[in-house]
Amino acid sequence: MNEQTGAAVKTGAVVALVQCAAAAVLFVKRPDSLDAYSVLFLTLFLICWGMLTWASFTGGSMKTAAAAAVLVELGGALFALRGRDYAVKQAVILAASALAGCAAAFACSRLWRTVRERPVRTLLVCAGAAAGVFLLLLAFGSTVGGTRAWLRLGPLSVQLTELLKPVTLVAFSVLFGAVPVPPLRRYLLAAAFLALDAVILVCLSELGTLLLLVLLFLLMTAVFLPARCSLFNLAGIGGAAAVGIPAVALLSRMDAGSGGTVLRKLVAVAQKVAGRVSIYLHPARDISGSGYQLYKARQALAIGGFLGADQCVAVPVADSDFAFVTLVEYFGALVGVAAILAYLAVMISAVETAQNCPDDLDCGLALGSGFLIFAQAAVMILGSAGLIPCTGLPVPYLSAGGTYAVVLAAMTGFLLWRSGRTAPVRAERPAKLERIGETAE
Amino acid sequence: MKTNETGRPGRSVRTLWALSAAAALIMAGALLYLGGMPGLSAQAESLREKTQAALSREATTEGDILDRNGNSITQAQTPGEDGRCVVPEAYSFLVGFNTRSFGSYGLRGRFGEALWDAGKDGKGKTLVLTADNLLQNAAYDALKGEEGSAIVLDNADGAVLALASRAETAFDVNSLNAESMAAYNSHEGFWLANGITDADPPGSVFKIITASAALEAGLDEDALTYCDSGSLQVPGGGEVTNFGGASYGDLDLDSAFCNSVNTYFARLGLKTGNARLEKTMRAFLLGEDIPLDFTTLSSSFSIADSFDLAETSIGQGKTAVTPLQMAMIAQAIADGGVMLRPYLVSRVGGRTCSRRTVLAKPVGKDTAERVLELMKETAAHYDLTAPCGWVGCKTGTAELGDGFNHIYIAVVTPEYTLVLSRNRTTDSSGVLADAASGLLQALYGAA
Repeated sequence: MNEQTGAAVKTGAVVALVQCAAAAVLFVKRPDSLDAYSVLFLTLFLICWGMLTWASFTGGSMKTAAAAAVLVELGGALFALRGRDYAVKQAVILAASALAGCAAAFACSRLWRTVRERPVRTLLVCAGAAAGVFLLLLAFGSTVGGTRAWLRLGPLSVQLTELLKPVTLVAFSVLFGAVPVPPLRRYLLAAAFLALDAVILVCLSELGTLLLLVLLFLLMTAVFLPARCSLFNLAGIGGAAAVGIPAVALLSRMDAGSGGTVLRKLVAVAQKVAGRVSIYLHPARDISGSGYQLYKARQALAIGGFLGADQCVAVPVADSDFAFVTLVEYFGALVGVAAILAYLAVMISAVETAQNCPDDLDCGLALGSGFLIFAQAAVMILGSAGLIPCTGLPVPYLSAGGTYAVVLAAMTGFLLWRSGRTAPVRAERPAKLERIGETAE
Repeated sequence: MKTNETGRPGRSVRTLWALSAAAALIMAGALLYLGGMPGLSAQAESLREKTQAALSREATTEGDILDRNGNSITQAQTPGEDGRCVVPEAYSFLVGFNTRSFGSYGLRGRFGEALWDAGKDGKGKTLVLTADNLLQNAAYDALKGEEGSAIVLDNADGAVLALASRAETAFDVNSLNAESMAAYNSHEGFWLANGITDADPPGSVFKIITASAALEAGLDEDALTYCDSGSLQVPGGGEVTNFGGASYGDLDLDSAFCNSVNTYFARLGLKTGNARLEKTMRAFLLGEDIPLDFTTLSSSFSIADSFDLAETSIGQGKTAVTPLQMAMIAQAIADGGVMLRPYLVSRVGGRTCSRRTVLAKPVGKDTAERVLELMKETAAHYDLTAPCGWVGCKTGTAELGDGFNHIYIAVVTPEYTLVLSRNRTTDSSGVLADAASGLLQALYGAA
């Protein structure tokens, strides 16, 4: 047995041991969920072992692989709680998304030269993809909970708006890392792309994704552009608040059925925003109506305690928006804190990977991928804790949802691929590295 | 990263690290504050306790409520939900509800803890009442679809055999929802119409106390004869008139009690004096809170001047009593001056609860017997009879001043005490005699 095979076997043994421990915990806490967990066992094992072994073989970030593996395992435990049939479905989704992650990594390795050499064309393809998503949803999309984000393809339901996250990330990375124009023009082009996203997402009432993309824009401009661009951002935020708050207040009081199509849409979005803000400001005002979900989440967090509750409240959208809350409720704050640390590890690892990237294009993609995962988790955790207005997004690695699982696997796959690729480069090209991140002021 | 363009390559990295760590710290802190670390937040602790109680309830089937014969009053099949009331018309106000959406009311509110205290079978404790389903139905029928209440007490031990009530509209505890609750709430005083909460002027039923006070004060009955002209000028101002403006001529205590003559009893109250009347009222526990096993009774009165005294003596003025306390007063007269504590719950789970308890001895035996004699004459006046033994009664019409009256009848027999009340009616109390007669028949038939 050579060294690499030995490491792979060792990793497999550790993963299997961890999963057996998870099964034991499940058996103690919810004996009836063990059957469902057995369905997921092999899929979870292969995904986690695959990530860790890949990272180990390629010199990729073990931090990313371990953090993602921990989160995938926690997500698996959550899926097992919902019964055998659900577990079977999630096992298929997990396997498919893992394959998609591998495919994304493979695609990166093949397309990278093209992207780097033809940044403008890449940018146009991204804009076209965003517009295509919009037109497809406008023409064939189906609406769930007031959001027109799904495209039904026979038995499959694809949340196309999820694709805007990687598309925008690639667009921003190309803009800040590969398009040879002055910083101010980059800023304006990125702002234009964000505006395109904003129009699309407001029309589709998908405000959670828009929030994430705005945060991504702020991060990228702060990291890659001169300080004066951050001043533009501050002015933009101030202006948006000055115009947006009165506009939302005014529009939300209007009759949603009156006026033209655009006005009706704006009124509907304003009412949605005003509703969320109202629940955030007065969480106890209507606990059987609009504040029901948040109240249930608070109940779940309260009874979860340190090690989890024996009897649990029925948290709404427990397999999606409130998956983290469900995790804490069943397994306690201790596991919740572990999950938060895992998200932090993904982010820190992404920063380290970005720091070691040979150019700003890769750097942006790595940083953006880690940020999108971390920020999405943070938005949902802070929202369900009532610290920020709650919005509807899946919690990375813990929530069900096929489209997002594929996007997430692609981002994780990219992070692992990129971190593995930087390692030998770093050894060979220390001068380049020094230029990018290591030279102190 | 900010490279040669800005000349600040490392700053962004450190800022990102710091921001990410701060965000993670806030998330973890929030998690611990909101419940992860017990004792850190009083609000979270309170929410945890409430939620755990609710969850425990969700897994519990409500305990049954049975009548004295073991017949079901409520029966629960589904965990977490109030059981169905088997006799909703007659019992809805009495058993009430205990829900998260609408709060609690009635017995279910009072005994919620026991009813939802799950045993090994996952079912709450069974409540056995002293009430009798047949009697409760008869009592409800005696209300004849009008707002009011009907109460039957067992003179032997104070057990509540029936306590039926009806509001302006019927109340069905089995069909509670937002719409029905909104409809109930739209009726002013809907939830007070249960015979134990709403205290109102008792009208002439109070003359039992006025007569008792005079007799206890030792007033010579021969000296109390009086020629009624239909009205009485009260010294210090004010006038008392008889119901319907009637004039009765020469009256003694017997004829005045039987005809419920206001002028006679106003004069009697004035002769007895504020102090003696108030002493007797307090002896009957008026103005005091009376804790019972299923509720706490409250009453009030205020006598500031002679006119108040005259008004109080005829059951008007500022005196407010619940129908159940009127029944207790009548029961004390029937039982030789011994007032018993009414009780409704005889067993909670395996534990036997209240037994016969003497609450007060408001008047002496002689006084009680004399007042009972007056009540018997009144019952004869209304042709009220019971299949065995004697019957005594006193009617009362409290004028509300807007053309409507609250009317009452208190009936006593050797075994039972009945009180029927009807709220906001244009009738006078005499109409309740028929209903009381029907209830007496049902009572002795059931017994």
